[in-house]
Amino acid sequence: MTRTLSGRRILHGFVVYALLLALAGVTMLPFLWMALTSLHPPNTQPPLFLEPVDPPAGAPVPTLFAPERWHPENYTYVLLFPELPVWRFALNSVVVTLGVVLFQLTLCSLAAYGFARLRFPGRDGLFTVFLMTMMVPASVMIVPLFLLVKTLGWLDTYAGLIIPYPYLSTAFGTFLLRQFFVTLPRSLDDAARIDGCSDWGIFWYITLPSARPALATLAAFAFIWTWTDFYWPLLATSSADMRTLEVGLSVFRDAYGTNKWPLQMTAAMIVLIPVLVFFLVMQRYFTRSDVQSGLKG
Amino acid sequence: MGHSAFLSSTLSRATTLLLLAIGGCGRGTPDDPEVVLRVSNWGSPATETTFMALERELREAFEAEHGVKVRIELIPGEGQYAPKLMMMHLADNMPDVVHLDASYASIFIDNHVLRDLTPMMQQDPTFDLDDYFPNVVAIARRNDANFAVPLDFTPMVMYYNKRLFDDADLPYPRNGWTWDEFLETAKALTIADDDPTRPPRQFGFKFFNWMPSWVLWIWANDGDVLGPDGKRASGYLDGPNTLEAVRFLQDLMETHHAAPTLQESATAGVDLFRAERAAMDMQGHWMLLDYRAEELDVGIVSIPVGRGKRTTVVYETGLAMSSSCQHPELAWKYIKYMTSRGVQIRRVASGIAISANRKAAAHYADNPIEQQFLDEVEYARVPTGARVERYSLIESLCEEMMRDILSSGVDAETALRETAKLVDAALTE
Repeated sequence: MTRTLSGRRILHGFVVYALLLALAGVTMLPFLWMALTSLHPPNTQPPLFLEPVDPPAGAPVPTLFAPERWHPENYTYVLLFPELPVWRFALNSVVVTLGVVLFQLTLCSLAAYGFARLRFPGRDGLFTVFLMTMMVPASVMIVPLFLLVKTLGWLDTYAGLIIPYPYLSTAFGTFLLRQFFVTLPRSLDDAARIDGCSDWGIFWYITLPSARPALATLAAFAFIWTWTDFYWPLLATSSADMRTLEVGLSVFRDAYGTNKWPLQMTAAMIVLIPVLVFFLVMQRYFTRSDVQSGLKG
Repeated sequence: MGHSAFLSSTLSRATTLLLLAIGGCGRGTPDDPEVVLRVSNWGSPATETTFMALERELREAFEAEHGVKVRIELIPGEGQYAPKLMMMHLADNMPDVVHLDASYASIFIDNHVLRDLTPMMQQDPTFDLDDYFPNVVAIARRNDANFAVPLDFTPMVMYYNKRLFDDADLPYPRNGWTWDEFLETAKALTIADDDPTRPPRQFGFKFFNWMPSWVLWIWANDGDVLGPDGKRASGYLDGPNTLEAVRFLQDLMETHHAAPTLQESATAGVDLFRAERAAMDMQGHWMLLDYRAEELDVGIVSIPVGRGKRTTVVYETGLAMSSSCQHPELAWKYIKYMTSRGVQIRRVASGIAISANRKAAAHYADNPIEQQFLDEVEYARVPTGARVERYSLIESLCEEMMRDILSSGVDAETALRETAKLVDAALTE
């Protein structure tokens, strides 16, 4: 009997791991393709995964894993491309991403504190209305937002790149933090109040320090969204000096599609590598957010 | 409270950084006396370092002559050029000079985004519109109004691989050849594999599902996608001549196997024409760069004629001025400079396209291939996208239709009829 159960367990484990490995493989495949393609000869078509069914006579068809030669110099080519200020793009991405993360943390934590810890008439109704803004697609708001930013004279500026982001995604951040704030025991607030602490003091000295995991989670999301965003930086900037990496390097994908796929993939890898590193460092906060935003309310 | 102090100091430092960043946002400060001419372009030349270096050199010469700054605003991203410029138009923030792609010209011209350049052309004694190919000028013309000066262009032609023709002991095709001649040639150039279950080792023609190329088969058979007013597909896209053209292509693949199926193209892993596994391909001048780099011995010939007349299309880039241009006189000088004979001779030396300035184009006419391209111009149509604003959507629908016919076995007549209805609906939305 024990041996049967053990056999079942092994089989169960085998099936589960096989499925998970298959899913992981499917998820990883595009990244693997991107990484390997970025090392292929620069001015070529996208490589095939495997040998074609009908290989031509003569020279073998290069495949993803077996190009004629690996080309790591694609990276220096893109990074040092004479007509593109790639390092300026990188600086802009860093400034804009940091700016957005800070804005998100500041605005969302203040709003979330209000919705979670303060009592005032219409609070829950207001929160519902606030949440409903998440249902309005960002694309609907793009045109009025663009006109507003133009009116403020912020086109092609860091202000125009940074400030509209929290406007576009504050509801999610507020929701995420509020869900965390409501789990904190009220007795902490009460004790602080007895000691003469103001609402601001409670927020600053008690709620925020307790919510560091949630803040880190929001920071992680804001980082990924902003770093990889293409459309808003494309609209809000005109000069090469104000482009972010995502937009600046997309010139390697031209208006008509191109046969320079490896260079496109090199540019994509350069944009992606910081995100991958960041994700690996912050992974636990990403997974934790599922629990925080999905359960207690 | 150690962690709160840490948090406090981190937040305050970060806020300072943010304020510094935002504070440093002023660019092109108002007290800067330098005149800046803004010129938009798409991102495509970015990987052509030599071409970009030449463009910069030409720009700097203009800047030095006029004491101004020319700022190129590259708009990257496939399909993002028109939406971004339209957004800038809405915000009254358009660049002064706009590179205008013929395939999308209608979006700009018919929405009054561009300025009519005709008065400037007429008042400028140093400019003569007759210097430019009339068929190319027609792209941005509406009645008597001209919205762009053509910069460069290419007609679509049939490339053929001379070596493969020689190996098959076939004469090179001649201009004005017919579909029957094309079919016989393509069949003669097709070499079956020893294993009959496998695709041929060599194809006569390389077909790929890209409408700007295959629509020429329809035109060459006196068919069309839309009516002359550009407002209706029914009666044209589902017309008998269009159906015959689509079936001709289908037979070429399925019956004669003289062109690869879509699946065979996708799994070949290489460009079959460049790999010398297909003997003919329909392309523009831009491919010459790659062919020359790979030392492919190619010739070019006109598109084969079906029921219709000899035909091709010109895909072109022009220089236009936005209706909200801040420096019209300077913008006009820039447009005139970039399209002038001297500058054009240098620009087109890169081989990307042909100069729309006839005097500059004539400079290269002693090259037989270049001359053949020039000979094609008189047979060229204006791209439909230069007249019909929603043409890019129509192209997507038609490419999907072609995929259904060639890959999924959908009956061509049914697919054309259904797509015509969809196009009609898209045009009346």
